[in-house]
Parts: sequence; C-alpha cells; structure tokens
Amino acid sequence: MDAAHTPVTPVVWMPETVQEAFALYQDYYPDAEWIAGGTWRQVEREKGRAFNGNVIVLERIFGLASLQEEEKYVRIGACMTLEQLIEEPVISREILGETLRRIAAPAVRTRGTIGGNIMYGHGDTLPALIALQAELEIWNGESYARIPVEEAASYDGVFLLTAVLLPKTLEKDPDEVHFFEKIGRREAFTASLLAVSGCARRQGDGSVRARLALVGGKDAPVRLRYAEACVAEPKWTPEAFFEALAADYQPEDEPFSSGNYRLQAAAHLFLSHLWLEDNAEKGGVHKT
Amino acid sequence: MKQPEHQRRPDAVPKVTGSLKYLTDRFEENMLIGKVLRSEYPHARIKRIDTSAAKVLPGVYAVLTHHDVPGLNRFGIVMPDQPVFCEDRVRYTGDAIAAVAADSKETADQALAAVVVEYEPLAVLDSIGKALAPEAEQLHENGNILHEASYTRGDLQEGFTGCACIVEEKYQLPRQMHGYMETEGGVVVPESDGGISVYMATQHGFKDRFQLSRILNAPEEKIRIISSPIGGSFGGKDELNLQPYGALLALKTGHPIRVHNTREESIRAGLKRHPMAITMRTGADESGRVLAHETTIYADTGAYATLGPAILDFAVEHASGLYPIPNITTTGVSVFTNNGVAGEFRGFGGNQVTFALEGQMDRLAAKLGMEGMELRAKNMRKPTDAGPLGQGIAPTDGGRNILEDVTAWQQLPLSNAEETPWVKNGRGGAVSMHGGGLGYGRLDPSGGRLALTKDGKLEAAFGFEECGQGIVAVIETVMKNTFSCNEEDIEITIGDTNKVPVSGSTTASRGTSMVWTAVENMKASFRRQLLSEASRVTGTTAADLYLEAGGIHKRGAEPSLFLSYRALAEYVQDGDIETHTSFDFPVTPDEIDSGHYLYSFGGVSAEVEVNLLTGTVRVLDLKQSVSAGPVMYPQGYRGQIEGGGIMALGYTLMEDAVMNGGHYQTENFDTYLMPGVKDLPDNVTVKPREEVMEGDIHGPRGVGEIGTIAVAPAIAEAIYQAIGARPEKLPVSREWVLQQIQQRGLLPWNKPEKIPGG
Repeated sequence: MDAAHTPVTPVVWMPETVQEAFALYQDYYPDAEWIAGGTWRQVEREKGRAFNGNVIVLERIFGLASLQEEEKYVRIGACMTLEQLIEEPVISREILGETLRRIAAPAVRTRGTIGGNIMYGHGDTLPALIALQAELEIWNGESYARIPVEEAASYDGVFLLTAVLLPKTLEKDPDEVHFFEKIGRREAFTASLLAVSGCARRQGDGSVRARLALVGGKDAPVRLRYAEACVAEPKWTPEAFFEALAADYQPEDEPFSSGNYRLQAAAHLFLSHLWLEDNAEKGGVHKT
Repeated sequence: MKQPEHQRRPDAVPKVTGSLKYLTDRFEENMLIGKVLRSEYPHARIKRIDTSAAKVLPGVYAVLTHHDVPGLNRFGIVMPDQPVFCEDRVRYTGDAIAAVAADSKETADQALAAVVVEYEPLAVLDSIGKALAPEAEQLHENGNILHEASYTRGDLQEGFTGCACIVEEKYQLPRQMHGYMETEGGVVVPESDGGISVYMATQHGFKDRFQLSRILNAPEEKIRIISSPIGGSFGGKDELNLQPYGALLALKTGHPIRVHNTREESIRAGLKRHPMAITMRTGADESGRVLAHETTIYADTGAYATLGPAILDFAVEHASGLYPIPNITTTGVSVFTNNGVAGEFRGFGGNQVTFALEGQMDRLAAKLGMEGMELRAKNMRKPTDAGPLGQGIAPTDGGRNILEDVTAWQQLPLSNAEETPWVKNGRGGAVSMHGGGLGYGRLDPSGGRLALTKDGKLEAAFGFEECGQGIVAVIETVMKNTFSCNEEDIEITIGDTNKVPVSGSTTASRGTSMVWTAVENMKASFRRQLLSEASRVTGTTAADLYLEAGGIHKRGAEPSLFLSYRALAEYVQDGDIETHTSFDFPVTPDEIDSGHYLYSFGGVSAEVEVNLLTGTVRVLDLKQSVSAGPVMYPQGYRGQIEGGGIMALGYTLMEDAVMNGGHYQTENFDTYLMPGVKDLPDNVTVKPREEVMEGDIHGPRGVGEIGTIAVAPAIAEAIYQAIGARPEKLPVSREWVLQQIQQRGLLPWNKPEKIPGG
C-alpha cells in the first residue's frame, strides 16, 4: 500500500502568531510541517507523500495576509494568495504580476500563496523576485531577519517566511527592460519547464547592467552571475552569452524535457530581450 | 443545415446544473466497496497468491482470485484472452490478481495490501523489437504476433519502375489516452432472483451481458446492464473493465458493490490508442500521378487483444485513403508486448495511417514542385471508384468536395501579417476518408423500436449509449423531423438491456446513421398505427387525420389538435401501438473481409504559430470540411468535429502516455497533458458538405470519428511551412522544433556551431 492510501489523520494546528507557529514546529519536529494554501502539497499527497503527523496551518496568523506600502518597498505578507496579489495594482503592473497571472489555474491562484510558491523550492515567482532584487523577511526562532531571495535555499537553520519585501521599482524608462517568460508543456495550468526573468538597463557603451535569474523544471532557482557579467561588457556577443549561461546553469535531463533544451531555450529567451533590442541593426530578422 | 443552429439537447440542463446522476454517482443501501489488486510487474510468473491475511481483516467481506470465477476466466470482445484474474503469469501492470469487497475504501485498501503475491520477474518485452526477437518469451499460446493483415493490388515493383519521384519515411505515432472525465466504474446490485444489475458504462450493453454471462456461467437473462449516461468514452469503455469484479463480488457477498477506478488505476489498466511505427514508400510519375505505394505497419497492441486485430485491419484498409493508386502493397503486424493494452479509440487506426499517408503526399508534392492540394486533386478518387480494398462502396464525391474547401483555405493569408516578433506562421492542409460500421464479414446488426407508451409518449428505444456525443439529441431530432412532434411528446429509452432492442455497438461512427435508418424503416408503420387507432377511437376517417405537435390533428379543424397522444393512450393497451425494425449495417457487396461500404470524408486546414525562441507550436486556426451526408443535429455535429479536432490537436502536439520498462510514466493528468482552453485555436470552423450522390439512400453518416483523422498531418504540414522541417514523429516536441530552428539558423544569433550543445 502506498503512503497516499495510509489512513493517517494528522493533527491540524492553527496558531495565531508567528512565534506560536514556530514553537509548534520545533516541538513536533520532525513529525511536523507548515502549510499555507496547500495547493502543491495536495498534489504531492496524491502522489503518495502523506502529511506529517502535525500540520501547522499558517493562514490565521495576523499580519501574514496583508500588503503594506512602505517608502522604498512593498511588504507582501507570505500568506497572501496569488489572486489577491494579482488584484493589487502595485503588483499587477510589474513583471511579478505577469508571473502570478501565469501560474497554474484560477482555482490554484485563489488558494495558493506567494510564500508557498517561494518555499516549495522552484516556484515561478522565484526568478522574477530575484531579478527584482526582492528580499525575504523571516523569523528564525529568535529574531526577524532579511535575506535575499536567492539565499533562501541555502539558509543555515530553520526559518518561517513571513513576508516578501519588494523594492518599489521606478517607472520604466526606455533603457530599462523588465521581463518574465515561462515555458510549460502547454499554454496554461502546467508546471513550468522553464521560467526566466530579468531586469536590465542598457548603458551607452552597449553594455547591459542586468539581474538575471531562472528556474527550470525541478532545479533550484539560479541567479545568473556569469551571464550578468557577460552582458556588462561593452562588446559582449551572443556566443559569449551562451557560454556564460552554460557556466551558470547545467540542467539535468527530466522526463519531459532535456537539460539541453532548457539551456538553449533560456538562452534564446534572454537574448531576445538583451541583445536584439540593443543591436537592432544586427538582428531585426524576426522573420524571413 | 435544415435544423436551427441552436437547439437545446435533452440532457443539457441536468448536465450543466450538475443534477444528472452518472452511474458512478449511484448509491445503494448496504453497499460495499470493491477494489482490484493489479500486478506489480509488467511481466512475471506468479509463484504464490495468499489471501488468508486479507480475508480475516475486520470489515472485509470477500477476497477473490482466479479460483472464484465460476465460468470462463477470460474476457475480450473478439478473442477472450485477458484473464479476469491471472493464474500463474502477469503480462502487464494492469493485470488483475485479486479483488476485495470491504465496508470502506480504507479497509479495501488495507485488504489489498495484505494479499501476498510472490512473483518471479521475467524479461520485460517493452517494445515491438524485443517482442519479435527470436529469443523472446512467448506472451500467448500462439506467440507474440496478435494479428497480421495485408493488401496487394497491381505490381509494386513495376509501379515504382515507372516513377520519376519516390519518397520514403518512417512515421512514429504515440500512445494516446482517451482522457474521459469519468473513470471506469459503477455499482453492481445482486437481485432476489439470483441475477445481477450492472450499473456501469459500456459502449455495447448486450456485448457486456454476453461476456459477463460467460464469466459468471450464468444465463444472459439474469444479467441486466444499465449503461447510460456515461462521462465520456471515445472507445475506451467498449471493452469490459471493472464489470467482472463488481459482478463476482456482488454475487459472492450478496451486497451491492461499488467499484470505481482512481485516475491512476484507470491509466494503468485502461486501453490506449495503438502506438504504431509506419514506413511508407510512395512514388509518382512526373505529372504527379501516384503509381506505387508501399506501407508497413507495426502496432504495439500491449498485453491482450481486445479489438487490436480489427484496428490493424482498419489501418491496412485506409493506408491508401482517398487515392486509387494502381500498385499497392500494405502489410501490418500487431504485436503483443508487456506494455499497456492498446485498443478501441476514436479513429480506430485511421489516425495513425492517415498521418503517414498525408505526410507522404506533402513530401511527394514538395519533391515534384507541386502544391500539396494539386497533387491530391490529381490523385483523388472519382465518385464511382472502388473503395481502398477494391471493394464496391456507396458512390460518393465527398473526397473532391472536402478537397475543394481545403484547397481554397490554403490560399488564405497568414494571420500575423509578419508583425509579431520571434514567431513564424505556416498553414497546412490534409484530407481523409473513414469507413463507418464494423466492415464486411463482421456481425453488425442494428434496429430500434417505436411505441406509444401508457403515458402518451412516443417512445423511441435504441440499444445505443449516451457517452456525451449527443445520441439522445440525434434521436430527438430525427423523431421531431419525422413525426412533426414536440420534445415533450418524445420519450427516449436507451442504455438498459432489459428495455432496449438490439441496435449494435455505440462505436464506429454508426449511431446517427442507424437511428435515422431505423426510424425511416419504422415511420410508415408507426404513423399508420397511430392514425388508424385514432380513427377507430374517434370514428373519424384516417385520411382526415395527421400527426403534429401534441398528438393527432384533424384537417380543417380549429384548433387542429384533435386527440392528444395522452388521450389516445387511454384507449389502447400497452403494446398495441408498437413497431420494431432490425437490419444490418450496410456492407459492400464484395466478399472482402473488413471492407467498409459507407465512408465519411474530412478535410482540415490548420494555421500554426511557431515560437522561434522556445519551439512552442500554437494552432491559431483549425478549419474542417466534412462530408458525411445530411446533418441531423447541428450542434452535436459541430461538437463532434470541434471536439475531435481538439483531441487530435493534443495527439499532434502534446499527448503521449509514456511507458518505461512496461510502467506508465504518466500516471495522472499532471504529467499526461491534454489541451487546455488556452491551447485551443482562436478560430475554429466546421463546414458540413451535406450533398450526396443522386439516389443515395443511406442518409446521414456518423461523425464521431472523422473530425480526428486529418488534423495531425495538416498541423505537421503547417509546421513545415513555418520552419521548413517535417515532423515524422508525434507528438511534435518543442525540443525537436527548437533543434530544427537552430539547425536552420532561423534566429539571428544562432549559428549552430557557436551554440554549446546546440
């Protein structure tokens, strides 16, 4: 009998403070897990990964489900649903809004949270948040801390994600490009094979100051530092970009896409934003 | 179209509001839950089965194995070769070993887990090549070849000698899943007379009754099959699935048994479309006249037969499609493997072979420097030409009619007008011909019954099933047209072997055709009976009476309604006004096994947009021209063609039930992807070509399958027109498309040699 069919009824805890949620987790660890919208967890459960004995529900915690605009950033509570965020003008007009609109289907977006999308490890929001230089507000059991999004996976110790701090981006000027692109196995309601994102500002000398990131298949998100360094050179070339990207990102083959496909497609998607627009006279051949 | 464009189907309101009860929604008092234990291995000997621990679990009522089958421990529509319960060997992971009945699903699951099965794994024959290797273990008594079929005419060698241009290609077709919303299941109720009532979906109630009687060693009269409504089937519920287990458990326990596959169980045990490898070599003279056509088909039929032989026959028949080529050799082999069972699926082997045939026509046309449609026109069949096996068929000009539409559509401008960056568009077209009915030499009876019920309804009874295709709307429409009545006057009886006449299977695009024929056969007698009884009851001469809404009307009277059907029913005994018909699906007069007589034709034009950055293909426009005689129910007709087109779009671009080592890799709809609403074309057109030849007496042909046939080759050609590469393997992967884009240097930066790994 697989685990999905094991008749286990977990104890469901509904704490009202971050500290209480954290303490419960520590008390029952390792037989405990936090849950927010539960949309991804439900799919995992269907596949045979049963719930732990103690499920700690985060949705009643005060302050995790609201959005506040500060002077330099927007604080997004980790338990805000994707749909709530789509409806926030300050979010929806940015590439994070585009990212959210392209996740799964309405039923999932109504339930699923931004915290869950980040913490399950390869959510589509990750590359956009990295590109936008977002930070995570976390509670580590003793204090609140702020860490860059790309450091969440390697953080030393247990933490509970409480908010996403999204810098208020300036109105785009013609030299500033923000983008998000996703490939799935169909147009919608599918796990992404690849999601890429970037924030780039071109300089007068042909170089590009960019923050680039991607998440592909079951890989952890990658901040593309070699690729960023490549395009920061005044005379960078697509060939050099391919090499830099390959140094940043070595994807494995997966059942429905090869690593090579994800690498090639990622390169094309980035170049379509970074290179051609800056070098229209070289390309411009969108069609023959 | 004669009918109003929008006409509410009889089952619309309950379906839309969710009030309709499907058979899997059924609940009975004292009902137990049945579950089936299926094999862990795709191929193994069974050394030992021990059910003792499972039997003593509290809440478990029965644990059955092959020892508990009173009759034939086998099923299969054509040849019963699939064990109800395996005795000493399993041949695929869907093979059943034991079944349990318990008071809850959880207890049933625990009982399954407590059944001990000791296996000795055997080499897994997970490909046609492995199954045909000389050293391969024999999966069945007669070896690993289920069926071979062939057709030859003319002299192939000589034909190729006269060719100025020859193309050869190997096409690979995937294992498509039906993907019905409702998985297999229902409830079996033991009756006080020792019989059973089986509330489970099937496409042929009487066939299920026959197969169950053989398994249960019980007379057919003791078995009642109630089988509609059905939440989708597409061929997938034609064969028995859970019925034997529900029936055996119900008889053993004396309780109603509910059995219902989870999606994983459905995928593991259920049928799929046959994966095929098809090699074609086709040659033409300089003018484009196709002279020689050689086809070799290998079908992976999985572990058991079901209708595998007939599907191979169908593919062999349709290998030359609409083109009366003088020199043809077609050979087909259907091979047993340890993969999932392949069987009945909308299109029935025509989809695979038409992808190859139409691919050949496009390759040939390109090589000859001709337009694809011009080559097709040059080789198109004439109205009185013989069928593809040389058999006489009902004269038809459907091929030329649909080709005319597709040819015109090919001239339409592409929709993007060169504006969108990073995409290339292309348009392609293809045509197809599809036989209806089961074919020469196969029992293919049909029939129906009309009666006035005690409640004053005009009852139309047929042994067909409603699986979402809209047969009830067809019946209602034909009745309204024939007897000028209202919906309220009609009572439709289907899907219950205790109540319906033999109409044959709800398969092979035969339902609409058979309903129309049956009513044509019965209408004069039924009308006469109604009018003469009305005349007798009212003392009015029958010549002054006629049928219209609500009942019998009298000429010249105001209001004209003279005697309602309800009033008439009060004056007659049950059965007084009743008429029956039985007949066979029309077949070719020539003794050519499996040859069809009535054909429908489908032409497709598809426009695609290929994303040069990612290899993603989107179908923007899908137009279908269909020649299948007069349209009976326009919405249903359009639904079948549009739905069939979308199903084929999935087949072309994303659907494949991948197997690895005899195990499904796509165990649910999160990995087995079908088109979602955003994958649908922006524009879908269905154009019925209703004209038939003068003197044609066959009325409407069914359209259940024709909308699925020519879509894949049309999309493949559209991809070629966009990027210059011809797909020969379905589904067309994004990865393959991107490789082709890179190899052709279609992006400004992608000089292939400069791309690491490119």
